Amino acid sequence: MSESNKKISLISSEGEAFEVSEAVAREFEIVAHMLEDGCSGSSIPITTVDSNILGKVIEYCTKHVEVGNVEGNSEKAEKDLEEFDKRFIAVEMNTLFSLILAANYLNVKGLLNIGCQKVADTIKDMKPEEVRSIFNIENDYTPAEEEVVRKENEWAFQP
Amino acid sequence: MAESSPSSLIPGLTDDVAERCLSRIPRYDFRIISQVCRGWRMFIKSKHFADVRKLTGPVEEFMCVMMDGRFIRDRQFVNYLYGEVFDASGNNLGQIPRVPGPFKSRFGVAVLGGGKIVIIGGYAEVEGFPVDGNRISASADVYEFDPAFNSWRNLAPMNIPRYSFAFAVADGLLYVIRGRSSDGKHLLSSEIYNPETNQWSLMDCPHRPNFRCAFAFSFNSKLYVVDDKSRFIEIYDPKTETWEELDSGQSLSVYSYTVIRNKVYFFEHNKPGLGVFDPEENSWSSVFVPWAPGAYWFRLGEWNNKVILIARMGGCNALTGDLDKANSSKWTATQIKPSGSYPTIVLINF
Repeated sequence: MSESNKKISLISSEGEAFEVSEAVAREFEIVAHMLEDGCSGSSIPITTVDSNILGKVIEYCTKHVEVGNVEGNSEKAEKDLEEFDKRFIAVEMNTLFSLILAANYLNVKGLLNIGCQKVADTIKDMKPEEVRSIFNIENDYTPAEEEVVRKENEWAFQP
Repeated sequence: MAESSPSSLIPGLTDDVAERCLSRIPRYDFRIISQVCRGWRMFIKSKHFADVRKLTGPVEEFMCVMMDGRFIRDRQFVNYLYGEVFDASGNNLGQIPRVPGPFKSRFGVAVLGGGKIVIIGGYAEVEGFPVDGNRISASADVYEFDPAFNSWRNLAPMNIPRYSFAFAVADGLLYVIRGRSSDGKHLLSSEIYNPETNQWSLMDCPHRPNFRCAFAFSFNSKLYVVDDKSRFIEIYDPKTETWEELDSGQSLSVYSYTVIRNKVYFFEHNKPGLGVFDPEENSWSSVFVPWAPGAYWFRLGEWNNKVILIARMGGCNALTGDLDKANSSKWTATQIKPSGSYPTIVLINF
């Protein structure tokens, strides 16, 4: 059997098995390291990620592996992938957080980057009170302090 | 989802990924982060944040407008030089600290390493009646602004104090060509600054006893020096350390210029409109510039890969135009309104 046809089972926290090609599994850097370290088993438990999120991460990796394999018309492929990423990451905040945590744990760099970027993009268009309510953050400023901070106009910060 | 500890930056995320998220926010929006809660404000003010942002955050391009400001002390005007920073969307990010040392004129402003602003030489007016009769004092001082520290520091001074010189950065080295001394005499010398060693060294250049600086720029790793009212452009090739001359076919008296991609744009005293020079083709053309009430177009710069025009006096909206497009006389007003006067425009990455 050639390398690319080899199948690997990823087991979610609920015990559900997801069968993927080795190329897709290798997109999880944590899995790639395990395979390189000689872990020859065909099923790998991903105990911290549930089925719903694991399925999504696999969807993301599968798409990126597919596009990576297409030769030629790279500009169009890149654009498609950008579109895919945009749609993929347009989820509600809880799911976004779970995807980011899973991507961080599994070390899927591309997904981690677009996830963090999505959070940053959400914050940058909001007022501080909206940010607090969306992210469930307590305002621990006194009104007087808030006034002082509001007037700060620093574009660079001394470390 | 697990309950997060009250100290976490974003409830529901581990701090390492929350830090990554916050590091991707554009600098203009740092003020929003600051206002959310103490933890966020402390984080973005920390050295750790600067490190995370360097690793995972964006590098943004900022236009910094260096200008004259003044205030009144003891019933007298006190002038100072300061900078105002604008991002690619035209947001005003505030001011950078005043340039240290006495207030100067006819200095050079350049950018080293893509992100540090340097102020070179110039002259200061001498108070009282100096014994040698000079009213001005040329300076050899060089200051550098590092946005990461938000402060100025002294670099090594030039070998010779000078003002009204030509200057440009080519392949990371800063070239300062000729200029004038305190007594107003033309200087024949030139110097090169190497930021890696923080050293100035004198360099040979053709003998031009009457050189009056118009401007200099670098193009394809070569240095172009344009004499005021001369039709010859001097070109220095650092690789061969040789100078050659190019006949431009016209004499120029340039007072502001900028280089964008492969073209040089400039304003000239004797001609209306914006001059365009293509060094590769040695071709010259000009572009219409609109007249706006109260706006005397004075300084040119680069912003978002386009030409930007900033009036000599503060309080006017800057205009921008994409001159590479076919309809090259189309100018649009920006929200950029620098507060000071006599602007010099530089771009930094930070």
